[in-house]
Amino acid sequence: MKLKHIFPFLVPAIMAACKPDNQTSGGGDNTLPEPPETVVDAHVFIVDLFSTLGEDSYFIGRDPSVATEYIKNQQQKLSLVYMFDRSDFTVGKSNPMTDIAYATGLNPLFAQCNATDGTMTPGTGMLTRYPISDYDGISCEGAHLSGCRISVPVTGTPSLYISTAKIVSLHQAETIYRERKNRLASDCIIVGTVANGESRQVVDYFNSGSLRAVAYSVGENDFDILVVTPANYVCRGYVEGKTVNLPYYRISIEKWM
Amino acid sequence: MKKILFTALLAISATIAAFAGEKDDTLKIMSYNLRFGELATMKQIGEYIASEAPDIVALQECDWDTHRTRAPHQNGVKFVNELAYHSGMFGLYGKSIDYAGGYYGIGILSRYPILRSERVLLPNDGKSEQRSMLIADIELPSGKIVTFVCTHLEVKTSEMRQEQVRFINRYFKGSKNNIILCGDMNAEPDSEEMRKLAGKWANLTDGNLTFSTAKPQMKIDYIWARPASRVSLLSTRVCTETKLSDHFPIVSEIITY
Repeated sequence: MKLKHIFPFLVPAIMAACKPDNQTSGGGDNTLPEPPETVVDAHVFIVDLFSTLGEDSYFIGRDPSVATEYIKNQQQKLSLVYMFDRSDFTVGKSNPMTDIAYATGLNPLFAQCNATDGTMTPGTGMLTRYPISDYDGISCEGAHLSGCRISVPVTGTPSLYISTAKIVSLHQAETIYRERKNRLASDCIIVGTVANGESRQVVDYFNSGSLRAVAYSVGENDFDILVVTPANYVCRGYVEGKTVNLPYYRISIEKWM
Repeated sequence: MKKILFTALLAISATIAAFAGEKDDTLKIMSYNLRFGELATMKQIGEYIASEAPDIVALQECDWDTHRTRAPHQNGVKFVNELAYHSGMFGLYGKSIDYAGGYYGIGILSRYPILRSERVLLPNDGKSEQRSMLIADIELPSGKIVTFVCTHLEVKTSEMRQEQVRFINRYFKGSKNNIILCGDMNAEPDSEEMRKLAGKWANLTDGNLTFSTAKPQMKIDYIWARPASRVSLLSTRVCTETKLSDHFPIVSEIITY
């Protein structure tokens, strides 16, 4: 038997080292009940996503103090979590997240979207109103998902994992689903971005796994807004805004069941 | 045939090694009991930490938005957030108890992204203050994940500390990551509880005294790691030049494999 006959079987065996035992296709033809058209405001919470929906680092050419003022002066329904895509983390240097957190009294977190580098790691910064000690994430086969368990001010929901991911391939979506499908189906919400060319496939993939996924394409940007929720939640859309030169999207999510 | 299989095994080993990221990580670890900030501001402590440039810091006696009469300059301060700001690191907070209008507990600062975290309550006989450990999985530049644990053990009885150490040993039994455990153990090296730890963990500190800064009489602060076969100690010291708390900080430089 020649080596070339064995090797194709060896490589998948090695790659399996990263896979859990309960690998699943995530496929299926699951039809979810439709949420009602009427939105109950008391069941809605907000996530503010500050993003250019591109690949650049958000605070290059943008002043974090503008975000500070926006947060401190927020008059509408207060956001549960503020996300900043991308808010890159450079070892040994101050970070816009900690600067804004210091000024606003919020709590900073960082969700990496690439493997840790010795100098700079790209990712999404997050700010929450409550101290977080329960933080969950994966870094597997190039896929990253990170989020914090946070109390949600909606009746009957003690806490949720509010997570973020920057997805550039269907494979990353498959990895995220495989690694966290039970949590995604129960108490984890993803608010992030997905590469424009992949969004249809990624949304279809998550929806086929009994989740409720939607992607919003905004203008000619490279990335779409991605929201993935368990079946008893629904994304009620977004409102686009800008404070000085900081674009943001206020994403409304309702617990409807 | 034997030649083919041997070559295949070598290829597997090399490939696994490549995927496993067989690079070592050199880490500078600090553990510091802050005495609820009574003796210094968070700016002073944060700038001191920044000057030492550790990679990961374990913090004990951290307040969150408390109002203590003994430390009025810390009223309303969120220690970990302010230290993160002043040191340029990311922070995690683990509440142990409600106290003085806020929380009292432990924290972690990290120069590298935190992938997962969890606060775990330690055994408590109901008569003592609730203690906890804060656990963070941190992705290092090598791609490996280290589990970093901060704790602050019971102060009153050796029996309670022994039970807490047994819990910690059981909790991490079977963990595949390199684990670093730091904190104020409230026990001297020759105590039964520290012997229990030494049976499972490598001690990465020396015997120099760490408490109190006014009159050093005891060593009760430690840095431990397991498995011992995957860690080497490069240097360790008690930082007696700083008196920003009633404990000296301890710093160890290690290599993890």
